[in-house]
Amino acid sequence: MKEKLNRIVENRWFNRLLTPAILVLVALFFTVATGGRFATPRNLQLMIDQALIVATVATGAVFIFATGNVNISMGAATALIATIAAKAYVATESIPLMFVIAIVAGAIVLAITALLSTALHVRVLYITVVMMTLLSSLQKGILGSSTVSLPYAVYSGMKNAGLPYIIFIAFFILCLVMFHFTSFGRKLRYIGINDTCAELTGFKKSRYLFWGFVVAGVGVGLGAILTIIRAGSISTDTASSLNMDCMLAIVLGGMSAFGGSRSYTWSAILGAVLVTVLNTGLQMMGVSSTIIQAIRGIIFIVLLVMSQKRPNGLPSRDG
Amino acid sequence: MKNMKRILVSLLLVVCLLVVCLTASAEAPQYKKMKIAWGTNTTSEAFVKMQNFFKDVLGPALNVEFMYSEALTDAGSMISFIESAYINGCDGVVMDLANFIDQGAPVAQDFGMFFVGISSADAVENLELPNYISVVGASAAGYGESYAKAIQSVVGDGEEHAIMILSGAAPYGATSFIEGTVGSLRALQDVYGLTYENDLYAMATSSTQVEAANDKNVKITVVPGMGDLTATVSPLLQTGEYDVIVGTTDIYSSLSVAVDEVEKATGKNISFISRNVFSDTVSTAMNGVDSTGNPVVDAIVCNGTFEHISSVVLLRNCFDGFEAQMRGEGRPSRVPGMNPLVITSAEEYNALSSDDMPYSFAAIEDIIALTSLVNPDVTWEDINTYGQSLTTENILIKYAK
Repeated sequence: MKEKLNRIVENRWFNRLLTPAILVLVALFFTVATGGRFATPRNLQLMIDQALIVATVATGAVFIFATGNVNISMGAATALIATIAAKAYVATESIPLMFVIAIVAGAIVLAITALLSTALHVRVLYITVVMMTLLSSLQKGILGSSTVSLPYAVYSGMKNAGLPYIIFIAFFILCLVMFHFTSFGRKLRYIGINDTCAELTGFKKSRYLFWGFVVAGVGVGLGAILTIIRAGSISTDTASSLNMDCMLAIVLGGMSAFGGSRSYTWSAILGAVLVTVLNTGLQMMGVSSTIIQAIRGIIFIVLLVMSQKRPNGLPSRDG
Repeated sequence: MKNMKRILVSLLLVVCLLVVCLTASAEAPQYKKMKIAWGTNTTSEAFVKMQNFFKDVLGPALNVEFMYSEALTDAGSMISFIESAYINGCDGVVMDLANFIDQGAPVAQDFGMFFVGISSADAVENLELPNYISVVGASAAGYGESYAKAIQSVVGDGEEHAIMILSGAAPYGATSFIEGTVGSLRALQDVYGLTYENDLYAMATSSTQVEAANDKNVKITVVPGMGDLTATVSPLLQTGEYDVIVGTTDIYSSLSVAVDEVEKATGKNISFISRNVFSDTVSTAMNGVDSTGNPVVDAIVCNGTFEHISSVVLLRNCFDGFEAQMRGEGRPSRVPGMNPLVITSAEEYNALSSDDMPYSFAAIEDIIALTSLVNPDVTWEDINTYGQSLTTENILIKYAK
């Protein structure tokens, strides 16, 4: 019986379908509990809007998490890049330039993180702790206690044109293809299963880690742009909870905390939407914000404990 | 016969109850139920006090239900909260996140909710949005006036003093700190009849320590910073030069020990002016005596809470269809209301912090009288005037036992 259960849990399709099934069940529960108010088209759109920044940054972060590494500087990096990009817009009033600067700066910042880790032979986690402090200080140095704001017409114009959806969908498709349908993604997952074995097989870990970080950096850059479009203002508190939200989304989305074969790009979007659905649904049922925070924390711990078991399977060609 | 008596008594009771209900409904109007979303940047003890007042007194009186945010930190979390407010059926939003109110207003406008921001600075953007009703909260100038009063109560004794002003977050552009520092410098100018060599605002916003050089050679030093004040200020105090220390933030918590040590070492009294709220710690300090036999704290500038009441009343009136009277002409109204209170003695402090005092010193009958259903002619200016009447002197007279 236990063996049978284990086989079901280890089944690739069980893992892939578990989170979507939970998401549908939770949404159905809230729809019934709120007498249908939860599932109005406007509410559903708002929930997707709220999840978009986390989903974008977390989709990129999957390329790091798949290797069994954790980057806790994503929030600080997003805040810094958003500051630089917003300042660039204020100075030049050029939206294309703001986009280019955000994407390039995001890729560079995370590439530096990867290089520091591989060149100095220090674990990624420790480097990202240092980077988090460093990037945050840099942002404070640039901003002080002031804020940098874009004119309402500019950021609301981009929002109304549906740019956030276009950015996310384009980035998601790119990541989906790279991660699940190329040898690059397969090798990242292989490193997550056993990095020593991967090195011995001929995959140069530092090289794949570097490119994984670059992709995550592009995600950070796009996340910074989405932050600007959504809020119109950047301060030193911008994206302060983004890091936690991304980690929560990835784990909640069904990805193993160890990465490896149970790593999926769609974990990020599923997890981000599930967090938003939980927040909104509980709020609509009259649960206070303090208790919602506690519930979020408990769910995260439970899922983290559940995903402690390193997945057995090897990365396959079908993703 | 016995049954008849019972029926008669029951009938009498029913009639009495009806009369009471009818009388009550004649006094308080039937407010339609509304829901307000309250975005906050803190969940401090003062915030919990406000929530309790809303839950027990103001909400039932005005038929308002509240939904609160967690502590919001940035524009992104504020926007998510406003979206949640819409999903949860709120009719209006109050946003206590000063730097971002202008970004919050269009989001509320998109969802058709009324919006009130809390800030010491006026709105500058999105003024044309019809649902951007008002910006409430003590003005920066109000902070200046309150500090001027507090300083005069200490240095207006005709003696010569050496004064240290802690400008807090003024170098970072925080308006209440800037005006608190400038107000203090102006008050010293008036008391001593002196002229400064440098611009007041330049001194107040300086990120390094500056001597406020003047023609009367009164020693005035402006020290910026919000961090570890003990480390930066203690060495200056230990010189024994200063006998008045003025804080634009809560300096009592961070500097009381350092000041006490210097007083003991030099035997010289250092007068203390701090920015605080009513609390057990401040109560002990206001009622206590230091090693030189003088009050531990000589004066406090205490943030008012009228903005909490005024924002609810403004939204209540808008919801009842009187938004034209609650908004200014073609822009959000500015309702600074109550200036921060200046408390200069233990007696004043004890009277104002008494349990009998209503929240924000505003009686519930007065608040109801400011609603448009009771008084259809009421405007935002009336609400502002009522708030401005809440000075230490007026409150003490009004609630004198």
